[in-house]
Amino acid sequence: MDAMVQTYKRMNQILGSANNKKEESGVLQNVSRRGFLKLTGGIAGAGILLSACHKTPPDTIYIGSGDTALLNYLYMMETVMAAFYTRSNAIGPQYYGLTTSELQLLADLRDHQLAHKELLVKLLGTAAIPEIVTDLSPVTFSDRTNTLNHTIMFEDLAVGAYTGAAKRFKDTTYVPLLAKMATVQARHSAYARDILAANTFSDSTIVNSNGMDQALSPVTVMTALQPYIQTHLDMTNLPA
Amino acid sequence: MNFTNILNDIENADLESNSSATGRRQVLKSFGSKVALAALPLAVGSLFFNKAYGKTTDTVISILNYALELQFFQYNFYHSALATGNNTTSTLIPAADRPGFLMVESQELAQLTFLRNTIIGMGGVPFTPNNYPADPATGNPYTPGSYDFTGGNKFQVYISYDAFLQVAQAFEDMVVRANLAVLPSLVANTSDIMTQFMQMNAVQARHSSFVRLVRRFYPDVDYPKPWVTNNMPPAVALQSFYLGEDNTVQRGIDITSLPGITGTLSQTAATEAFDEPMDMTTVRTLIAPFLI
Repeated sequence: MDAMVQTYKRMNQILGSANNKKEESGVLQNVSRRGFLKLTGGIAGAGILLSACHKTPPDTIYIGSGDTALLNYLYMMETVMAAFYTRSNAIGPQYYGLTTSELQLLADLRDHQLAHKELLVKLLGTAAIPEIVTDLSPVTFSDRTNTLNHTIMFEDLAVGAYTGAAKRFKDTTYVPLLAKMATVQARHSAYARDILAANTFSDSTIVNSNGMDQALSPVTVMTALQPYIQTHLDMTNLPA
Repeated sequence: MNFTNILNDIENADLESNSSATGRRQVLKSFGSKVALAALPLAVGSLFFNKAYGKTTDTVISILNYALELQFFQYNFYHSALATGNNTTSTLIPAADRPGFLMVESQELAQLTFLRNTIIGMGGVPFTPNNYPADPATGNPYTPGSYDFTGGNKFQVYISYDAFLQVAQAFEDMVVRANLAVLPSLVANTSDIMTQFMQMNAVQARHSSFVRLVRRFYPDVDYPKPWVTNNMPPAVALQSFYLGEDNTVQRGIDITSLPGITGTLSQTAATEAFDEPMDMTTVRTLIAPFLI
């Protein structure tokens, strides 16, 4: 969990320097499970009871259960990342200190997330949720360090999300796909880490003493992404 | 004696068995009397070839040993390059990049140690390279007599930093691909090993990204990218490490048919966004020239 604590620290750094546009986001460490459950609109135990006759409040999107919920969860994560990179690219030339090399790769990062996002929504078919409304106000796009720290946070979360989701899939034929996306997210994170601070691509803030990256539960990932999503979500049946 | 019932009983018991060896032993023990009265070979056959932990455990150990073999390979490559052991070119890796390569080396070693301990813990025999000098269970992972990383004087990896980086990139990308290919063999395992395998592979991808980024600025050109573009190798002689990396179809969907920021996604993006598996036979062919 050390690595996750580091992720939270990074998030707090980011959010603390983001002009306090969203004050409640600055204390993400305290969001934890209680906040997540509030976000999901129910408690885990009730989720099981309700699954047979599921009721979702108005203006709230129910993401489904089982593999469908997992795919929708990953789709949401990719939607946040794609929106983040689309905005980064749109203002790229003004983004402080961006080199030509970085500008070229920034477009790649966007396109890779779009590829993941569009593939996931295609695989979901009619089970896909409507596209969520993102909230990028915690990001200070004019600040290179803030933007790169967000890049690192999102990419590290994505590696952990795909890795953690794999064992939760009932249909194990999804595992190879998740794995080949996870390694590309790891490439992204390593790159962003290195252009922010040389030789930090897999340092101890993200890799443990066994030489392993993170595996994160959907709860952990969605809690971290909460400040970047406006849409109300019902995730009671998302595998814990 | 109803044979279907026995098999059902075994199957049900199977689900509740935690560890492979214990599970199989207990299943065999608890059904001993029934099985003795029925057709033993068929029942046992189903245990070992249908659902059995025996097969699963053996499969997991063999996969972990394959991963261990590749970790020995990578660890020894970096350990030699970092001017310990038999390397005589102490200035091969510039000071600015040295902390990065030390981190790569230490993480290759960490994975090597984890894999070896896990294999031993499962009752398996850990892999050792040819000409291995030490005790496999406790020994020194550095075994220079096992490798020729010049591939028979083809790559000047310990003389030319450029050559070292090219080969390092190809090795890192190959290991990512090798691990992706064997991952499906671990999905039936009830322990966390599949997840841990993915966690390790993400770190391999980080290493590749690092090596590629070093190359991007050495010697001062904007190439390559930290991710794999189409099937582009770092040098023509390393093309075979990238065969199949230009795949654009995932689960039957061609990524180039999906919407991009304008129009559809490019072939370049479609190939970069997914690393591709590489089968064991191909990987063994690729590493063969570097083995003694």
